[in-house]
Amino acid sequence: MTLSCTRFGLGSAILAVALACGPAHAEFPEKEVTITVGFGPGGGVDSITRAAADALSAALGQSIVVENQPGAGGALALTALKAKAADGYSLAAAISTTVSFDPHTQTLGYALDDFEYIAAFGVFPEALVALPSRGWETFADVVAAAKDAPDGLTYASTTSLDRVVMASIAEKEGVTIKPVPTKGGAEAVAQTLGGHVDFAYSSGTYYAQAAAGELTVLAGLGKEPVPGFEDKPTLESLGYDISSVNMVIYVAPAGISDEAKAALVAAFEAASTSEPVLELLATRNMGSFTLTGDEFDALIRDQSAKFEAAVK
Amino acid sequence: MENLLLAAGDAFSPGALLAVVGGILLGYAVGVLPGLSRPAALAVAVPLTYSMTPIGAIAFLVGVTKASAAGGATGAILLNTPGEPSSAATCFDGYPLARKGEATRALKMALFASVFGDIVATVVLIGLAAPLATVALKMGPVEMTAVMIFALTFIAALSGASLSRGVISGVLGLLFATVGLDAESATPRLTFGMIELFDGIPLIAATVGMLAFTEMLVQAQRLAQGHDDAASLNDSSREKDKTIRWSDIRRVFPTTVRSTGIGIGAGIMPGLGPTIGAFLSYAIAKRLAGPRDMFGKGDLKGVAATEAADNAVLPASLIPLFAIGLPGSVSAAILVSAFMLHGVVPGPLVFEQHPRLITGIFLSMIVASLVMLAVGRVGLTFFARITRVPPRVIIPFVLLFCVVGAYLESDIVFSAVVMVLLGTLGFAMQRYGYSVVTFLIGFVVGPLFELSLRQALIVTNHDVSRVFEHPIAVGFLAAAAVAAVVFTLRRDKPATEPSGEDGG
Repeated sequence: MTLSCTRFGLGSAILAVALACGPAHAEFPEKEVTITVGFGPGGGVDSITRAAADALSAALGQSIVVENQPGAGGALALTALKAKAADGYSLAAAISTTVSFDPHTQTLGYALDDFEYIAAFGVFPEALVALPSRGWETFADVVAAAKDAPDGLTYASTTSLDRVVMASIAEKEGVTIKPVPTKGGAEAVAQTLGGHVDFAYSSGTYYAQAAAGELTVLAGLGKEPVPGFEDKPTLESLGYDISSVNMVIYVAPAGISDEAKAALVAAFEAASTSEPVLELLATRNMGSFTLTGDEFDALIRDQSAKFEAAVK
Repeated sequence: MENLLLAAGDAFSPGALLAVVGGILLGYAVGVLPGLSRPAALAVAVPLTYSMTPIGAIAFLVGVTKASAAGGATGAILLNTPGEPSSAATCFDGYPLARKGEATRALKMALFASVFGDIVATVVLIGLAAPLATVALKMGPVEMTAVMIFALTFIAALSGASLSRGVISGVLGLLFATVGLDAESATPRLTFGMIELFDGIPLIAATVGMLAFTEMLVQAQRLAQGHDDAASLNDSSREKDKTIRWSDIRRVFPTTVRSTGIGIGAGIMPGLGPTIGAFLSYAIAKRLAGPRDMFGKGDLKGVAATEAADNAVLPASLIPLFAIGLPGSVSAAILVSAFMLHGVVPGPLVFEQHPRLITGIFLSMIVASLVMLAVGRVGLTFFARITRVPPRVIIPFVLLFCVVGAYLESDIVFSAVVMVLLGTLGFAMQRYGYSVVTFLIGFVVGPLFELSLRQALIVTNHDVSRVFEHPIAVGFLAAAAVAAVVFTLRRDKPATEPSGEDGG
């Protein structure tokens, strides 16, 4: 930068030096970056964030502070993030649906445009599962069974998203499929194993049971088949125009500088291929899918628009 | 056999032992300090385990959980401030015992009963996990609803002298429990647009506020009114009797065994948890009291009944986790993530895939029980001296821990504000004879009962007669009906109603 001083007039040289060397334009980051995880310690989002922290720190040359602020499915942390300074030093970790789905069904203090989308890691292997003793191979068999059942079928539900998905399928097929609300994946899987419901939606807890052959995967909810169960359909391949690609996402408040965003995106790109992150994603059967920057931005906007249409 | 030896090598390695001792010390400290509670301890402890070995991490977390349950009795007995609702029933007899100058006896009994319940439940976990997990899976929504009606029938009898006030307190607790997103439609209920209330009134804030903060306000008021409370506490510092004799153990033993069984049962049932287990155990012990028992006035049986059950719940709640890989409680869910962090996926095959690790964890759990006994035994000599500390010193410390404990739950000041507000409400309720404990039972049971009932209605297609397709549920409902009739008839005969405790 100082070289360029000789080629410009004195005034512009001073300006250039001031711009280049002033504290506002020092290289990002100059201090530690805080990531607020919108879920409790030990959960999927938390462990992936902590696994990524070392690689992020190495790439940014600053330490990474991981905090937890669980509540309202990540919405509490995002609400708090919106109010923080858009300087790139405050990030939040949540899941895709915290921004792409929840604002359509809840009155929340934030919307899609309140954030810059930095990176997304992994895809939850969301699926519909049932006991093998039911004799169902794919979700198409479930729909056929629902047409014959006088009272319809029941399924263990864990999120509003799965209720929206199932309601749209039931409407299209003219069948009754009643959601049984549960506290989460473990309860949903236990109720299915115990035969108390006909099938279940689960975002990942089912996987070990399915791998052991104690549950049948009926269909995946994502764009791609569930890893390890590639012979099973997705809802889209069965002809339903609905899917859910739910990822662990990292966002910053809207309006951070391009420089800070570029540095963060580069750091997350490096972290996404680091050994601890890949290992953890494999353990949780979340694949190795990573999106950063603009591609991620486009995907989340597309998802949000689709969910908005489905909710109405 | 080879696995057992290898596992023993892992479990008794210096790192694993250190993790157990560290976990027990942290858990005990959190349990003893009123205001700090198990979930807060786990929130702090989980990130610490990220760099440990798998066995060290699990042993550490198990140690924290076990010891915080056992340590929770200390505050209940000495200060009438249980750290969490599951120790609230320990106050009923523990605090009167401390007042009578038998604080050390009560602490010892609580510790022995805790360790007994814990070891027995751990042995049951090791030996019978697979068959009991099958039983747990049989407990669907209809069965769980029936079990809760059964448990509440017994617990309702603890509501205190005035039935109407008990009902009002319990219903108020239920009302507070309805705050948050509706489970079925995700519609916000009574949240007043506050996103902090979407998950309901924070549980820790409510329990810490109602139990510890309220009691500190009561003691502060006594102090301010010049009732020199130091006098009464100094009474108890002159301890008359510190030893537990064989005759005590013989008298209390049957209650402890029964309570351990109740705790194991409550642990296996998905989501029932330690609070219902401990209260149900106390209520049953009181119902079965002999003519010489003095429940509510300082009976060692009362302390043993709650503590044995409270501590038996945790190992039992791990049964579905180890047998089929599904966590049955919040603590178990945290262990799942600890497993996953180290590349072990809990599931139906975990024992076949990782026999050495699972055996090692079982051994560490037994080691943790014994370490807990040692730490508790040494510690209680010091803890008993708390009674000599004047209230004007204790009150500010406890209030500080209450605020910190509430804040730790989710790192927001909102929780601390809720804690203070509910603590103040508890103070007003206490002042006019409404039991805060009954309120809390309503508050804790409310969401579980509501969810189970609504699930049951959906799976039976709103047809109540279909409950007869569920024999286990019919059994529990019949038992509840018989109990309700018997209790009502007994209530008319005051001579057999031995106590008139205030339940608070």
